[in-house]
Amino acid sequence: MPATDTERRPAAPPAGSRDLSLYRRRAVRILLQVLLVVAALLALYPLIFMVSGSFKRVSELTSLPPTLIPRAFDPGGYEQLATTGFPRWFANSIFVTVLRVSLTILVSSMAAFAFAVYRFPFRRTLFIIVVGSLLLPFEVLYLPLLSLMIDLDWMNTYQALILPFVASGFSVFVIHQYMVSLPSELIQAARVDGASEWRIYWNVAMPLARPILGAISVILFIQTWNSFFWPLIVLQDTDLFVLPVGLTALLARVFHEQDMWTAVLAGSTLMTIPMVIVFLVMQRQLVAGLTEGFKA
Amino acid sequence: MRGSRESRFAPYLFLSPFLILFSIFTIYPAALGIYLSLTKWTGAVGQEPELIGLSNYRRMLKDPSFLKALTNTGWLAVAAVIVIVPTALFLAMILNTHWIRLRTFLRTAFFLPIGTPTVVIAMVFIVIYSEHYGALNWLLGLVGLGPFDFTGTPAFVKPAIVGLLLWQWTSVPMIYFLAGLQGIPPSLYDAALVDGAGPWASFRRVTLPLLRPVSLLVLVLLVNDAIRIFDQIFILLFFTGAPYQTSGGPGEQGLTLVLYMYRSAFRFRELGFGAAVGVSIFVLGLGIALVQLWRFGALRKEGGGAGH
Repeated sequence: MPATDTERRPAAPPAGSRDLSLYRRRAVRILLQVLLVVAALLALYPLIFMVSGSFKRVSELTSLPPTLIPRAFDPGGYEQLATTGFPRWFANSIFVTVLRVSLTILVSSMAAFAFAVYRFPFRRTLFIIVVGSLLLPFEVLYLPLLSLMIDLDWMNTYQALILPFVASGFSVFVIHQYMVSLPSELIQAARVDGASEWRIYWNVAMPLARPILGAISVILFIQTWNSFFWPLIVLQDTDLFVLPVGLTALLARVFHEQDMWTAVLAGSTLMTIPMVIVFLVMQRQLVAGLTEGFKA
Repeated sequence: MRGSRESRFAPYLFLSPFLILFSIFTIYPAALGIYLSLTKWTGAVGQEPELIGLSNYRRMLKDPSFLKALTNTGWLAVAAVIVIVPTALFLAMILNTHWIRLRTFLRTAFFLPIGTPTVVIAMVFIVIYSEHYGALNWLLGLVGLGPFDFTGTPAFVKPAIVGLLLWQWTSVPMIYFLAGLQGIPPSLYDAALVDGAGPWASFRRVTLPLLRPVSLLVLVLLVNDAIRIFDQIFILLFFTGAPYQTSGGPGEQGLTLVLYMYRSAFRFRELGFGAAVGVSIFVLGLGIALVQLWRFGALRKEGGGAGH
């Protein structure tokens, strides 16, 4: 109960003041409780505003005071959205995200397994290079990667959105920390039973690593679903847009036609739904994974 | 034995997909980035990068806009830390008490920004900050202030960005602080109480020292995110500044390092120059991370993360 009240309590409170300090502590707790509820409502407000705004008419959206519940329930924003490339962008985002996350998990867990289970020459050096890559922000690689995409003739392709991100040093590091702690007897026992190395990886190590794989998948999902800068520079063909770039293209139209605002909010709502669902379903694993990575 | 021969080659087979992709898409571009930063390269078809030595770096250091981007980024990093760390710690400490009600609701509400796309939240904040129909100006109007054009007035641009970051970036530090607080044995507080320490003293002598490793992690992550910030500002300042999109808002108040890199490369078509900016961002980020780790003693052998 530290710092619940800022008053310094005397070391041995005299009997008479006990009631008073108890009373004061109750008041402080109620105050803090109210403060936290207000903060939570502030945290929720932008999301509530977004969903509610997506069902408003533009005239209501752009007038004061801001209403919490639409006066006239109008799905016009969604109808307008359907006439844009949005449905296609949504499918693109799902496709790119699912492929990128699964490939990353597969490739990274294989590498993590190798680092955790085997002893081989240059193991330490390689591992240090992989972990060192965590210090290399992708922003720094974007321009040289762009030059590579031009050389490979990969501009305007899905693979440009997927393959450069599959070898994730971060994922290898975190999965490795988890796999190292798996009992080696289990792996030895599987070998004695005549299991191939691949079977040990796939049927022994992977199922045991499921909690950390879940956490990493959520983190990768959020990263990919959010990814904006890279798609913005490698995609020109609107048919290939992913959601963040597509939504920005819609936002650009607001400049000339204010009516697009509700469509933008409708698109925002639809883009948020999968991410919030994944987040809420996996919340426990994600929190465990974040703190696990920290302990490691 | 079959198994032993198999396991001699096995590690390389397991590693090869990763190593191949890692070499092509991380190691090679990292080296290429350094090379490109020494060239003049417009990205036009048929224009090969042409070596020009260090002149990109020299020009960058003389460019007032680069210095502006540098100071803006530093300002944002410091402000984000000052605003977010205490908020996250405060929320985590209260959520960690035994008497708080509605815990699940509160936790979910505070975690939810993690599940909200960055581009989306920046667009919603454009509306909330709007001079003519924004909720914030309406609220300020109730007490007789404003209306203000938050994203269009130089003095307001940075506070507006920090407000957005406070909303978006408090969740993860809060999760780390919660985990850190749960790792503090209650017996330490009992001992402090026996010693006659009040809440403030036990906060300063027990909570803060034991949260040191978590605080370091939070600090490194926040500063790292601030140095790399792009998406939020690109969208939030979309309609401001002269040729919108890439100017960094009114008076370049929202021009950060990555925005400067984007602008150099894609508006001014100087990709070699942009690569030089990229290399500088990397060196800067690395330097700051090392200084932070060193200052907190995490680089010493018995330091930092040992507590957990």
